[in-house]
Amino acid sequence: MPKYGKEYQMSNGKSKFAWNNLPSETVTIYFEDAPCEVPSGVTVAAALLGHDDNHFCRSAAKQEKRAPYCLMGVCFECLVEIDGIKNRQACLEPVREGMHVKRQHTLVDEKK
Amino acid sequence: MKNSYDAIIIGAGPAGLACSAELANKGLEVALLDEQATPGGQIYRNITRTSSRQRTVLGEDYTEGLKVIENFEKAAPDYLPRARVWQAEPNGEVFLSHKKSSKKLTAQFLVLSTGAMERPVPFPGWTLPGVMTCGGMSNLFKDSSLAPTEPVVIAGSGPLLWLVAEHLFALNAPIAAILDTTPSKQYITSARHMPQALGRFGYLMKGVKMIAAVQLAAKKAKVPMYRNVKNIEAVGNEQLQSVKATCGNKQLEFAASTLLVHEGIIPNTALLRQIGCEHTWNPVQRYWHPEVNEHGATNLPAVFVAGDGTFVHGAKSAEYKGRLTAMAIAKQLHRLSKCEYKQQAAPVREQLHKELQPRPFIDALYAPRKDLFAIPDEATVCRCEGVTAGRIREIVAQGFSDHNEIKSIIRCGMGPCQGRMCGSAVLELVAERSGIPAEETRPLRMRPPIKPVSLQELANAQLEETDES
Repeated sequence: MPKYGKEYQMSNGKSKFAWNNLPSETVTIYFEDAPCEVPSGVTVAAALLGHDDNHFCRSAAKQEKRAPYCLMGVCFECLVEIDGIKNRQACLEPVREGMHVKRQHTLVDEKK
Repeated sequence: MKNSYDAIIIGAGPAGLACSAELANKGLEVALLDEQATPGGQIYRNITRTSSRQRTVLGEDYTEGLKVIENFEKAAPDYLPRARVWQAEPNGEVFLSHKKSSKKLTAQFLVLSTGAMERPVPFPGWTLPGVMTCGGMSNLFKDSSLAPTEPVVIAGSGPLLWLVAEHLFALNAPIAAILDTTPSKQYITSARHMPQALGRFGYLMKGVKMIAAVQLAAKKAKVPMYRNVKNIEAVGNEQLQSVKATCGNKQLEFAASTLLVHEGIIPNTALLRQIGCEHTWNPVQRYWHPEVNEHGATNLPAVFVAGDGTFVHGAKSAEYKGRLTAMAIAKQLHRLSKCEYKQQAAPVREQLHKELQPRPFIDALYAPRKDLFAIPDEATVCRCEGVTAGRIREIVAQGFSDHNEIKSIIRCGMGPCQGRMCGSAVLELVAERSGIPAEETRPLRMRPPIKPVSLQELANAQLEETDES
């Protein structure tokens, strides 16, 4: 059964966003190897923003911390590594049970 | 899913949904490709799954999308969500990445309904985590019901700013300030379009009421609201801490962990540019848009553009444009006689014209203000490659005015977003420094793949025709 209420936090306490209306089902994803329970059906970007607002990746050139800007697939500032594959746009990928998500710290230009 | 179709539609917003439904209803083989997991585009994002609570907050303009979805589901064209189109060709070839593998589809006609995006406007600190667009916030709520619990500043100009403010008030989000950057004089300069706009009096009143409701809510909640705001600046160390701005002689500063910005909406021309559609410059809204006729026909005989991608006219217009494009294609494929076409297109065209009546007024009122791109030298313009406005000005002063050249010299526009985020600003910086009007500069070329695909995926791509059906 999904857990609700104050004792249950989907956020690790660092998020500046809260789920306004919790979906009844959750899935567990691994963010930087730590399990975190997130509402099912949401995007990876939403799951991470609701959990920990720190940053998603570092910019390709200057390694500055970056987080989602447009949340519609245009800005490429939410690039993460999902199940070992880099350059995934977190705002377009739905969460899946057991998914491993990592911050992307060095951009791999796979086109080269 | 087959490999070859009468028409392939790219983008499942209102235009793509309406277009593919109309074509499927006429008995044509249609595929709708979309990069999101559920249909609806940005405006109706996640509409098939949002809760009643989310729908109440988002209001009628959002739930309108349910009808579009219903028509689409009834017509049942082939629909491929989570498909990222990374190349399209004028001969009707489409290359896409789906479930970690790439393949090629072909069609007699392509409809590019890739919609619009928020105008990216660089300012100091806009790359800090915590700064996002109003539309981004709206998407986050539609996707997941997430709402801010820490202070938010909303800054910019345009209807979406007020809409998002309205939603955030409904969600009791802690709004630290609303900073409207619309210059007061634009209320006067836009007034000449008012008589035409009054043709859609109800639509205008809806906007007026929305803004009045936000102002009232702000007053009640004692949220500071400023007009004629300039010089927005995001301040923080690796994370947004405060927002600075000026209003007349007044220096403003608000502590905030989220800054939502909005400076209008522009067509998302990435795929249109890559395929080779010709574009025209709009001097009021200052953006490039494809040269299309009323049915979305482009300079490429097999390629149509529908929806906000042709020009930003809103969701309802996008739906009408999608239907008109479908009818034009059905006529070309002899599924509609000339007479049937005339009969069916006339009422839709009339609805579209009605819908467009207030647009010149809205476009003029919320035109990008004169100093919108007076970007301080130290501000980052190209987010991916970390190129500042000052560096771009230096290169322009050396005589370079073509973004393609500027890109090859200082990498501005060479990162993962491929110039989507810096394109508008580079254009304006070139115009400012060189004196060459923006419309006379050469726009940035978009080269495939326009979405990241791994080399391994490219190597394994199924690019040969192996139609199973």
